[in-house]
Amino acid sequence: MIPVYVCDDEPFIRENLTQIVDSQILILDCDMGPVRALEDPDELLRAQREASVPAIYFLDIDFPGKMSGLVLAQKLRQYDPRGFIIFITAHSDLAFETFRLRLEALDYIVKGSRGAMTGRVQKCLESIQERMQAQQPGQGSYCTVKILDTVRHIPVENILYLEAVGIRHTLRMHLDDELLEFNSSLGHFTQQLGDGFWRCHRSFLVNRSRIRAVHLKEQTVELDNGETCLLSRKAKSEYRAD
Amino acid sequence: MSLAFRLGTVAFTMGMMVLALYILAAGILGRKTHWKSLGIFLLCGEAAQWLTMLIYAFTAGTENAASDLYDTVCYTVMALILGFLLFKACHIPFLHTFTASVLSTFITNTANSLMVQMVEEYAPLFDRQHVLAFVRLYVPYTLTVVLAWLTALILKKSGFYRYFSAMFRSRGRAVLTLLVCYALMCTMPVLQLIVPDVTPDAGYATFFSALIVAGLFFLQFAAMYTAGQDKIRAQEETILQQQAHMALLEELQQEIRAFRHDFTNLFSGLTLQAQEGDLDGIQDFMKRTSSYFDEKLGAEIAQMDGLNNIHLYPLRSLLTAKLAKMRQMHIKGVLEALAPVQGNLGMDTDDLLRALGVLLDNAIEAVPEQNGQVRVVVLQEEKKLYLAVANNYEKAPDLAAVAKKGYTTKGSGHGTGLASYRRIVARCRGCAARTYLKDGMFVQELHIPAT
Repeated sequence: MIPVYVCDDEPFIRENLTQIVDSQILILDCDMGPVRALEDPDELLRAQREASVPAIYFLDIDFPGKMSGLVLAQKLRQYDPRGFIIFITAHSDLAFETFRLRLEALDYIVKGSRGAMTGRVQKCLESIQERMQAQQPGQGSYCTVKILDTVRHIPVENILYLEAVGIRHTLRMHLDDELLEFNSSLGHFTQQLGDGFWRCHRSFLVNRSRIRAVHLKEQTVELDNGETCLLSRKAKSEYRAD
Repeated sequence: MSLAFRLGTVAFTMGMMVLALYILAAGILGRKTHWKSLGIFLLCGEAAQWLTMLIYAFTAGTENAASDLYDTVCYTVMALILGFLLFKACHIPFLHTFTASVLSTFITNTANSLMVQMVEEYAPLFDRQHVLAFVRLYVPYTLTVVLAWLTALILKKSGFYRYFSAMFRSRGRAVLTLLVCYALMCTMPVLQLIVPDVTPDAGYATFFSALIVAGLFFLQFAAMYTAGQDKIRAQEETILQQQAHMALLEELQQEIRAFRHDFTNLFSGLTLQAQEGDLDGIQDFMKRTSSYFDEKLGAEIAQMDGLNNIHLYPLRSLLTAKLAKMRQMHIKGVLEALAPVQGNLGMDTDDLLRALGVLLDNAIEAVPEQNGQVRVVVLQEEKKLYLAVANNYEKAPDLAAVAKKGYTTKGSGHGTGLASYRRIVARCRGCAARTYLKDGMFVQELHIPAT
């Protein structure tokens, strides 16, 4: 069961939305609940610690006199990096791009007629269900990457390989449809990721399960998306010995 | 005197020269001493000088000719080594560090010969050789280091590197600077080669010192001149960007005028309906017009709000210019800056502008011809600045290829932008870059730590 939170300081919206979410969960038969309605953002932060994560959060964009929805979402994300955040807003010209990119917010719901809100909530819940199911089979381990003050948990099976570049300790992580560059050392990840990964070169660390072929002659390792990494002489003899 | 003492003395003088070289070069570059590179350079410098000496001894024999040629080669090699070490340690372009090394070689040599001459002139004569060696060699070489240290201190305090780096703005100018510095370094050996009979004396050394002072003045003057030129160019750029901003304001005003015109018409219709008591008609009207204002002016106003939040002025100028360019090209540009953006970043403002410029230019070029969209997010957080540039595309870019050097969709001659972007990111400590595809958008994120 994934806990669901609705946090808005307007009682009318809060109650309405809670009802909508409750009924939609029943209709869609999702593995979600209980739905908790909260008024105060601080209360939500406390409640989050007591229940399990990941969770689903419906958040107001602004709490007058208290923290903004952005700050609240950032705090929630710190504890629950894989949760689902949906914003509730009064106007449609909200700067949603910021929320979507920075906080990976799922969607936003415009306060208005009940019908429109219901449709939007349904869409959100369906999309969450889809994502949860997509994640199920993997269930594997996660690789933790800390970039400045943000912690990301990356499913290990999505990692193709890591590459050390440049003169400073810059690391480039190649994922499916993503590239990540940050300051770290390859040694650190060799330790963290363990046996599933192979140091095939001084500056390459590849995911064993993503290797398509090892070309001994060309001294390269080919991955399942067609990319290639270098193969050192030492790793070559290691490979032969196996 | 024992051989060990002689060797030790020679090693000491060499070490002192190397030390002076390093201190001065670091001073010219305005950097703190980097102990590890200093250690490496000490070893390399000693080795290079001993090697030169040995080669000289073996090839030229006892004839006292052309030792200056060997010296020049030796100093060039040492300047190369020092340049490389500083390039590694301080992350300054190699051309800068090499030129600084050459310049510092010249200054150190001159200072050293001045010191030697002075000591020779004023020191009393001793018959005991140890003391003689002490006075003749130890004192002047130590003094050279002290002098180099003082010079370096003054250069560092006066921010000489600012002017020095201005000499490298264009390739031609950089090469000229390097040549001038190299020529200076070679003056003394060349003179020795042309007129070998003249033995250097105090007057000679003083002349060179005067030359250095004049040279430094000239350098400073030339650099200040270039810095001034750069400033003028920057100001011209700002004026252009201001004009773009004005154009945006004017456009907004035009639209408000049109909007007002529309609205008066609509309202006169509404008044009629109200008089007739047509409630349904009025409700219908409300429904149609409630989002009218947002549709017409929302985007422009949001853009202005975003720009007004950016207090880092050069950044605002850049964004204004690029958004104006997007408007010209009929690309839908969205800027979001929710919180005021201050300066104090762990990245040079110049680097920040260059990096964001590359991202924006790439985004503008990658959008499809119809319905192009570029979204820019600038978010100031407590500990960092978050930048994101997203664009839609015709054909999904190949991320594996994006990481490779010289990736481009535009044929040969392009693709340097991303490479320099990566260089900037790698240079900035704590910076992180992320490239990914999401919901049909190609997104480039940059996280810059705050100081």
